[in-house]
Amino acid sequence: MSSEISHTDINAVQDDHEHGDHKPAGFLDRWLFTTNHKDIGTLYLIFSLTMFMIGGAMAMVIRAELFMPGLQLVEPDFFNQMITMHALIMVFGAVMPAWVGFANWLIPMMIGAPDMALPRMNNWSFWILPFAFAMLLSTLFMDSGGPAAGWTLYPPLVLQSGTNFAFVVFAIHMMGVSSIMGSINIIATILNMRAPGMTLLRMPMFVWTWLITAFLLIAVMPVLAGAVTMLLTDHFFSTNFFNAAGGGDPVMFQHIFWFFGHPEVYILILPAFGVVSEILPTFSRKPLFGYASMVYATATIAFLSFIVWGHHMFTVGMPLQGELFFMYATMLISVPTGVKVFNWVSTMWQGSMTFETPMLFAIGFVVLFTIGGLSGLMLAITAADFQYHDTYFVVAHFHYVLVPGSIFALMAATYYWLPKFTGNMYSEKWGKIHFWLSTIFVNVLFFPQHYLGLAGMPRRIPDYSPQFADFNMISSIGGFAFGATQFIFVAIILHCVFRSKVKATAKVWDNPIGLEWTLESPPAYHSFSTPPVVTQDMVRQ
Amino acid sequence: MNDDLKSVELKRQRAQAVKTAWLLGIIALAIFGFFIGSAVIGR
Repeated sequence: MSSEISHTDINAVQDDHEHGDHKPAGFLDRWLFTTNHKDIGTLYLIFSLTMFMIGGAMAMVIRAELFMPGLQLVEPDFFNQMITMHALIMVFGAVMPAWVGFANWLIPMMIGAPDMALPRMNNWSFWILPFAFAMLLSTLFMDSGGPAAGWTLYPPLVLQSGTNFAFVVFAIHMMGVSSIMGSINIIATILNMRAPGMTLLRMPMFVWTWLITAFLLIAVMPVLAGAVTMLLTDHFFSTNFFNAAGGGDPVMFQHIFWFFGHPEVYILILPAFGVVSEILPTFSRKPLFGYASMVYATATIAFLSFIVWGHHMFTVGMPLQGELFFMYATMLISVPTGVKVFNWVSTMWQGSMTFETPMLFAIGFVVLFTIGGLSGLMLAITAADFQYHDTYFVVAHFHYVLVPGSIFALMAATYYWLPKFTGNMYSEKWGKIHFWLSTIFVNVLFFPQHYLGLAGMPRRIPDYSPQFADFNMISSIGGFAFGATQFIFVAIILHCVFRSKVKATAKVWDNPIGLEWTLESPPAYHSFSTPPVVTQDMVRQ
Repeated sequence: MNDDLKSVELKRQRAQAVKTAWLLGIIALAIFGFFIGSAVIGR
């Protein structure tokens, strides 16, 4: 990556600004029919922020109901719909599209390409999503209500769903098609469209993590599609894949689902690793420690993610050898993950660190994601998992990985690149307020859930025994405050885009690394129409 | 690199990208078919 930004092809940059700003004139041409990677990236990011707020509203319903023992606000069936929809929307509607949005914006600029390799398919990948989620959300207004069997869609419970189930399955198929097309586009772009001199081991870590994530997506989304298709035929066409009464095996669904589900976790977190690996060097004013080992660790994590699915099913019952295999394989993931955390800390070590908002979120990520990783190690111990399984300890674990993990990294990425995207600076004061409130309240929200789980409170219940009351109340207060804090985030973004008077420079930060910083802020509509020539002296790895 | 060369190179890259996309799409469909097929045969 470029440490000396100025020696990219300045002529190319100039050329972009003289000839590269031909946006379509009409609103529909610009946004509905767009094939421009920056516009499509913006659409993804707006969509994911919308879904983040909808999924967050559902989380507020959940925490409100759990504020105290007893049934207060919603019926148990609606509570089950909320937990199911919250998960589906946050995983498939908020986090995944947000990463695809950043991939669209950044990958072409980071590798010196003029656009994504397949721009029309890029448009299609995005515009499938609003219809998929409209269909999914529409089930809440049907007589049978929304899906209520949990996002894992386990049979036989899910086969008792009403007519909504066909809509849910079709929505999941559409999300899968969108993800697969987006991934194909990303791989085709990275493998074929790099600027001269941008070899694979010179690529920024965000590009590397997305390349590996895209392969994961292509490998596992068809598995999910196959699983839900079989559920669909069991439900509506009298097949018996998972119906024990007809000779089927419900446990087979769990195996297939988690063969998809565990790599899915890494699909949500690997791009976060890439973002943190971009941000920490910039604000530590040092190169990333151990670039090559970061690439290999990412690939190792991706490989291992395919052979650990059984740790979600220890209590289902499996041979002792199977339990041992899945336990040790899961623990093995901590090795490449530990390499990453070590490298991030080493990057900061003795650096000239400053603490702008993206850096704060990146450091928050390293600390809090590690807590989530450590509770994951506890869950990997088969014998201990019999105690933890299906308790709030699991809820605390994966929320630590996903909220101060993936979502903090998304926020870090937003603050880091939003000035580049818009040409305007956000309010640093409000960014820091957003960080500190988020960090405090995310811990108030999720840390007590560890204790609830260890004390035996089951997950996915609308009511609970009185001994769980105190920690639930603390958790709910943290939840409401964390939810309210996110309105600050939205306000900061809107202010930056529409109102900010402080213009961003091309580099934005103090000597950031990467080809995207050679372009002006905001970059021209068509950038790198003449590819830059990347030489060894322009990269740090 | 003049405009013609740039255009030729871009076209070559895009043509190669389309081939990559077809290959990946076929792999995705094959995985989908493999899981459903093995479930059907296994039944």
